[in-house]
Amino acid sequence: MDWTRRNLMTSAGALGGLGLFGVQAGWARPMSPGARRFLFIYCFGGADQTTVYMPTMDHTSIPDEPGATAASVGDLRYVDHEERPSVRDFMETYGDQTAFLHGIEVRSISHERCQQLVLTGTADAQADDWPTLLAGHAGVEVPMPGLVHSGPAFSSRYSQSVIRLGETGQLNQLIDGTALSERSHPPVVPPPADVSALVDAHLARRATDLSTGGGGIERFSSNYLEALERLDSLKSLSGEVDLSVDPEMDMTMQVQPLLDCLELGLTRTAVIEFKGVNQEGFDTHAENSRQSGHFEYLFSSLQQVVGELETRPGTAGGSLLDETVVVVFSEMGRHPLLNVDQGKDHWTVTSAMLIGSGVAGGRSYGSYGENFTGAPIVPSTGEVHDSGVNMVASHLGATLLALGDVDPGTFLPGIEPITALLSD
Amino acid sequence: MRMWAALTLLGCGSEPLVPCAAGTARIASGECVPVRGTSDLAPDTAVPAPDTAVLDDTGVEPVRGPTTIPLAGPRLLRRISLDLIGTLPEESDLNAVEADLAALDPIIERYLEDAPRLESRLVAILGETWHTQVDAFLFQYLEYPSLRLDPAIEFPFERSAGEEPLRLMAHIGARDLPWTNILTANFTVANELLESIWPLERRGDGPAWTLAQYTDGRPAAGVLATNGMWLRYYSSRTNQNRGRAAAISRLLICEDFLTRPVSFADFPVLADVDGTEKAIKEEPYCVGCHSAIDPIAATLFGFWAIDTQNGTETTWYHAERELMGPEILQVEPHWFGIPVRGLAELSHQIAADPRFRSCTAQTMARGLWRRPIELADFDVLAGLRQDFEAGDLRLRVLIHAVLQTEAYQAGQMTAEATEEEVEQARMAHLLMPDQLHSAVKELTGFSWWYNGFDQMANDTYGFRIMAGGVNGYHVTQPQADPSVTHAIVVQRLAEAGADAVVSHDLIHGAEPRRLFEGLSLEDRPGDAVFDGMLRTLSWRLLARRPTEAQTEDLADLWRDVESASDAATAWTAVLSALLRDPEFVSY
Repeated sequence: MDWTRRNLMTSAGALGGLGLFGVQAGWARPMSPGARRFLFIYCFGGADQTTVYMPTMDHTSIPDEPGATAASVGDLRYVDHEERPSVRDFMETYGDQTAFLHGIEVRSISHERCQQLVLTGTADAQADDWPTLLAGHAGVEVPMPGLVHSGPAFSSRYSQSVIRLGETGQLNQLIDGTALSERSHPPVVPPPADVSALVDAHLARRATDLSTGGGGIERFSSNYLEALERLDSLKSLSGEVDLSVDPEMDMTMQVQPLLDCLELGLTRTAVIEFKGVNQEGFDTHAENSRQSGHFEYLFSSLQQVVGELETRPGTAGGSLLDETVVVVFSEMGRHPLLNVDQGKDHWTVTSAMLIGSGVAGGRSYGSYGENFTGAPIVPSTGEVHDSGVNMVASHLGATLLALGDVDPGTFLPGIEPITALLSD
Repeated sequence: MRMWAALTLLGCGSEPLVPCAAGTARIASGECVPVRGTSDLAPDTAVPAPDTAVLDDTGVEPVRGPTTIPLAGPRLLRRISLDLIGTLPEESDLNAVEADLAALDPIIERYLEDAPRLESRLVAILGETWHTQVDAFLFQYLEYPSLRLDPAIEFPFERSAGEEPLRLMAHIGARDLPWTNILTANFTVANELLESIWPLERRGDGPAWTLAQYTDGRPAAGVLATNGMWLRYYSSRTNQNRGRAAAISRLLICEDFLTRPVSFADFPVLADVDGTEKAIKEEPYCVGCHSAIDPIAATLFGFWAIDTQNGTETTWYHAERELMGPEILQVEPHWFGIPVRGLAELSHQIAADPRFRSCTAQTMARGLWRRPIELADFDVLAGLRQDFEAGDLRLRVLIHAVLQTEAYQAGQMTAEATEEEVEQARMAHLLMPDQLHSAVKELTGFSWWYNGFDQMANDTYGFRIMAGGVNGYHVTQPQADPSVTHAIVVQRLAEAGADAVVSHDLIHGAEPRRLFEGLSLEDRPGDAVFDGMLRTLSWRLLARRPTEAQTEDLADLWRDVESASDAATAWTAVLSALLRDPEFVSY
């Protein structure tokens, strides 16, 4: 069979014949045509929500950035500044497909804890994060349901769905064997493909026997078998999809393997970490003005990434952007006031940006109150009102699960998605 | 009575019992009880679990039977060996335990006396909680003039710095010193690299880790006076050591302030520029944590760096800054209400805190049980703490006690187990990267390094988190189940290991043999030596006697590969298959 990109895209069952394990039917199949996918962009360090997302010019207590003005695209207000032309360009191009979610309370001010909280809504170490939950519901036949380029990943129940590329592309090196032939002292020549296939087949039989044979190792063997089957699919795809990573490249280049996998329907969720200019991150306890450069870089990258999603074909006749949600978030916000070092310290409340498929864009949802804490939001309208709820990270999660057709009530009982943000 | 001794008396050792019926297995009491998933029920029919919430006619909750069945002796020995010394048990030890389970005890004692290997495992186990083995610190090796010219020093620097506190604890634990020494010791451990860049003197020569002493006047406070600890848990100027204080609480008394929700929603912190500081002192919501955290943070200002990216600032102790803590934070130093006069006294108070002993039991149990602690575990944990205290707070006593718990020895669930218990239980543990690496190295001689990096212990170029480990920042819990990336890392490690030992033993015929004792490339399936080698490999690597069918499967693999290539390649394939076997990568 000719494993061309078109072939993979148009034939939902095309990958079903790849398996060496005799599990032909239903295995290694791309996602269903039109199924919604997600690209998570994690802004490391705590992005300052007042630099772009939330104009605070009307706020009496919060100092304004010199030269900053409030601007809007439709009902979507943002902070404009001449040092950040890419923000304006992006808003003018994609503002109607972009939504800001304001006032998400993460409930901690520790980076590590906030990473977990913003991605899982809980401090429970056994919780799966939003990308993992979505990937875990992609169907077992999707070869790389949750692809992690970089950044945090919390997985437990659905850990088999998560595949890391490695900081310097180690997954690719492992698959093509250069991890041994070029990155081992002394170098080792991996066995030829036919020998590998024989060993793989033997292992698959062993894992199958153990997964049904009792002895306490059934669950482990069943998971192992699933991992081997996914791995088999990956090996078969290695010539088709370039999974290499070069950490020296800018984000628009680094995101390419993720876009490829999303386009081919091989992946449901992809995660990449964005560290800003010089990989400094957004943790500006001193010189908060550095946030400006990070946001300019972020939005210039977004302009290209979202543009590429728009030009790449989707699986249901439209563009890939029609089928993909881009989620830009940080683990926490920054304090509204400057500290003695002209920086900003951690803040428990943050904003997130959602772009693309299923997002009712062109407006923001929620807001910040007088103390710059989250204002109550009515989920069904997105309006700020005393009758609303104080948004926490779980509301972001519930909204993302709803976008992915995963019942939020199963994982986040009692948490209502921000349904106003859902366009369909 | 120890559980394996009990098993021996009940016939799991030298006295054979009547075999249990199909779908049942023997538990510690000697009874045969139904096993989940292997009964005579149809394959998809779950064994019904008892409803423990339902009372019987007398209104008394029915007494539940045991929920787990222990591993068979050889598999239990394998688990203990991999946990304590990171390698597979010797064949003679497997044979001894197979013959008599009572043989386990002296073997465990031997493992606990094997200080170098036990130390390495303790570093790995403690590292999963302490998170100091990170791939990047706030400043890099490049900022040390003596290191910056050698790119191969990056990994040695990162691990040397990050492992200092872990190795100090491992030294104390493996040498059977009182565990409180981790907080009161007036020494640390260091290798040659650390001695070249930090203000300390070692008590030994050579590149390896030895006892050492800082020379910059820092107080005697064990791990709390190590550079490695505070490089990982650094403090920004405005955080004022509070994050470090929270780390002390999490790591040493298992009270994690950061799991408490923090909300700024209900009080006006922005009323003025001092709003936050005021709230910390006055708002009950804030005071709940800060009244405990700030007085601890106040003892840490000797480690407070004005410039966190300056090596000298960060790695030298600043005694002159000790008094800045109370002044800046406006609190007197305390350990949960007990006044202290600095870090040394703080450390002694922690060491005397009963929560420290409970936390140690919890940390070791979690590390050896390979799962999170549940509420239902606390009775067992209380018992472990008592054992630890009765053993004069020696870690080896605690480890020994953990090995005797039902949770540690569990190999299978009984039908008594609830669905929730089955869901939470991990009867087969995933081999961690360090265990994989040390076991394969010991078996085959292969060790995976690249440009100075241990490939199974880093994530910059290597495969630590891909193989299920933690990196201390983004991935903070070890993986419990096999994954795609774990499978491919294991595959390549197995291939390289198999290649190395086949080359050494069979192609070059080097002596002493590492694994293929007595075998030659001329031996063929059906030959006694050949068939015996397959059985020996299965026994040694998996701690199970293979069935005839399993041995024949391996022989078939050998034949298939040999017919396509040669005998050496066939042995490489067979060994790599065994090193990737579900019963090898689990324990």
